[in-house]
Amino acid sequence: MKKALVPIIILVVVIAGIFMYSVGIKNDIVALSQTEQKQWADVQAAYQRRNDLIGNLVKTVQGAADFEKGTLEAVVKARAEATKVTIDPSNMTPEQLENFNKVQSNVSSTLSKLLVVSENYPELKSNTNFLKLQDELTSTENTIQTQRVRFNNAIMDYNGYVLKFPNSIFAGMYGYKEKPYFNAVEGADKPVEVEFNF
Amino acid sequence: MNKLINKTFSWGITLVVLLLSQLAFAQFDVPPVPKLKDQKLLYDYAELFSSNNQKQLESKLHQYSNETSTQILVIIIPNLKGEDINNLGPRWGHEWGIGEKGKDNGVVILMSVEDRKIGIYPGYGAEQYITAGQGGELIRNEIIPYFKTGDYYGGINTVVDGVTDMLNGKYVASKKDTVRADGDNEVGGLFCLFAIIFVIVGTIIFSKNDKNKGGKGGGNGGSNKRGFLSDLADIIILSNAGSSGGWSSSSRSGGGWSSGGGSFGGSSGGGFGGFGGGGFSGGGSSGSW
Repeated sequence: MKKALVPIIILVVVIAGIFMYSVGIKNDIVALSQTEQKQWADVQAAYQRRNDLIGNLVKTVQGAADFEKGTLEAVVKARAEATKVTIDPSNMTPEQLENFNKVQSNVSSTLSKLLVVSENYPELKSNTNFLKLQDELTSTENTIQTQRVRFNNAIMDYNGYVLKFPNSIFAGMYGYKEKPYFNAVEGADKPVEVEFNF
Repeated sequence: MNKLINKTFSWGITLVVLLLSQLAFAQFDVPPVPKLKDQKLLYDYAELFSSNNQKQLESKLHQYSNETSTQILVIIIPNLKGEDINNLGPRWGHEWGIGEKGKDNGVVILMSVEDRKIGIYPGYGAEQYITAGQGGELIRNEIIPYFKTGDYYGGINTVVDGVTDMLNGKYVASKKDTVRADGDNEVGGLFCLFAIIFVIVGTIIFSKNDKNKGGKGGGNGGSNKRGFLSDLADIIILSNAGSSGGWSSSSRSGGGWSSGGGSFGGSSGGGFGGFGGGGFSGGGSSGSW
């Protein structure tokens, strides 16, 4: 009777040990996942900020006499499309991310075209409001770049941990999967070119 | 198993490639964080200012930092080595941790002499007081005129004054927050594993002893078995104590670290207390002359 107790105790201790070990891993994954989701929120906040700024920019530019209509409309359209695409950070797929990336980089390219065209309008270049908006947009583009790099770093930390043996076993058990990177679409990695001429 | 090894291997390669691509992208490497006693708020790598001017500006920055806990770091470099100033400025602030952790009230002013560029980069917490538009206006209207006449010291002084004006009254001086020590999960896991191994090895040894003793003398058997069970209990308790000892010792070392942080905050009378670990979003404004 007492002999049978020994292996049972050992079994219980071993199982408890493995369970505690896996809980430790799970907590690590949860922490990494939280960092990554927070980082995604920062990425989205930066894009949102750009969207808001574009609204102001369009109003300012519209005020300028005979501003090229086509360029302006392209920005407004791209922005409207981009606002439609949102991503749930806890359930992110590579396709969703690619789609998000595509619509946002479309905003980037139309916006940079608009800013280049605006160079031809001296009345805009002397408009302090417009200059400030240009500063804000440049700043936001840089924030977007920075947050994207940090997001990918957070993904790298997360994926590196989840895919590593033996963590991969427990990660699979708890339902944590590899997450997609935010890859650059052609030309999207370049910030909008804004030239200052003093 | 082979598949798994292949998978981890290919992942390893992807990670290395990713890392390398990032390294290749960064042309200007931010210098390593200076030692605590060498930390200050003015780094004139281009040796643009006289030592007298340097001291003046430095004490102004240190005084502002001591009064408000907001750290304004002025960096003057000879050239950007092809790097984008808007990328380098916030990265520098983030890597060095300018401003207090949590408050993120740091500001980096970066100037490149040969590129004729200057930028103002607020940390997360300072962003709302120094928007890119305001920063850009300050640079355009007040700084560039100085730089155009070649008065670099006057220009930098004006930037610092402009930045402090924007920040003024926004941050109240406070004691440095002590860093909370995080428990280390891996230590706990390791101790668990050790406990398991310990128990298994212990049981094998004891069960062998048990058999030997059982064969030799029957009378002793009962007490011996009780002895084994209590030994096993001891092992479990001991291994638990060991693991919890590990936890407390790890948190103790963490405590030592945070008290170190506290002491460097305290020793900052007069001089500069050191960078606090503030974060930067990457935003900011720049201009050239």
